[in-house]
Amino acid sequence: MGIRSPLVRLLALLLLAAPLLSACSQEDLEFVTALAKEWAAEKGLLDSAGKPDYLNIGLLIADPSSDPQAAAALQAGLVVKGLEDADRLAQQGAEAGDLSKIDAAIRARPSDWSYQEQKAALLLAQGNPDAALSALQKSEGLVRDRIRAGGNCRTLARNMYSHRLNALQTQIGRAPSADLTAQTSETQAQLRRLSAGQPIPFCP
Amino acid sequence: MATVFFGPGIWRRLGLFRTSAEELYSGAPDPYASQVVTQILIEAGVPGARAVVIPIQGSAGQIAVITLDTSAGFDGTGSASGNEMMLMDVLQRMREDNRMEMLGIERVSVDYRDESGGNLLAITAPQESLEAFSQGQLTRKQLLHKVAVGFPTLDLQDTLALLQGGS
Repeated sequence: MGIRSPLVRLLALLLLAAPLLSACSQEDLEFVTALAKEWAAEKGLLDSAGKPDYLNIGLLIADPSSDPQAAAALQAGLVVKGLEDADRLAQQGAEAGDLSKIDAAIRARPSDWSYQEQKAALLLAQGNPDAALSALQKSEGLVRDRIRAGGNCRTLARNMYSHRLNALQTQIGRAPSADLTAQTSETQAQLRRLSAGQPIPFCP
Repeated sequence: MATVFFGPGIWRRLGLFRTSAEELYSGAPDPYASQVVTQILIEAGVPGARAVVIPIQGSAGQIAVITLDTSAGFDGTGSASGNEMMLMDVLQRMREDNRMEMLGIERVSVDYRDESGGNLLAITAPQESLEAFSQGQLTRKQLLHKVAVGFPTLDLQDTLALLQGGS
């Protein structure tokens, strides 16, 4: 089904139509187009005669929202794409015992504590508890910075301990050790307390 | 002329907002919340969908970034009415789980990716508005007013081509 007018193509795309167009019936297309037009009118993309206002369409594309939170959220997908790339790198490093790959992920997303957690678990598995502790402290420091900036302590603690548990379990899968097992038990205990709504030392 | 009009805005959007987004969403994703939202999408029967929930810097809330990836099998439901039902189902489940599981989601962003995995289109709305819509406390028109739409990777050349094609 061809979408001839650029405006209709744009509006159809805007209103979730892109995934539908390959399988749509005429009735579906009319429904989506009506919805798109309703949204376009609401955003001032149509003039009083119902014709496309290309100036406003261009302005919308250039600057989609006056709300900074919404404008940033529209870029969130690109952030997730970068995160997926860094995750892949860190996971490869954790599974292969290659610290340089985890360090590369840390350089790509320096405020993301999950990579410090992976680094700590790998260092512990490699028999370097002092360096592991240093990485854990960096992770906790990043999370505490978030809490000081207004973050929810229990939500962020659950986040951090979940990453810690995943990282430890990856290393136990590679090379089990008493140190890894002990830290896994401690991490699981923190997560259980969080889940049960009980206090934890990290969130006094 | 169009370059003068739209150029600065586009560069501002691509530069400033991307920097802002990278800063706002620089923390580690919440594995538990991400799993809960992804499970909602799977149970609603949305192929090629996954969710990443990320804490928002300077806020107690989180953003749920839902990726609908054509390259991973997303193709809608095949009908607009089916999509509408799916959307309502997902919104209601997210409302329930956001409260019951204390996920802290305060904004949702839907990111469409094309056949090659490129970022095609993004739509965002506050979770509060989506919940009100799912409860019938907000009309579709009122919800559309709260929705922002953008093309994350559309550059100046693409925009000009689109405008020239439409005039």
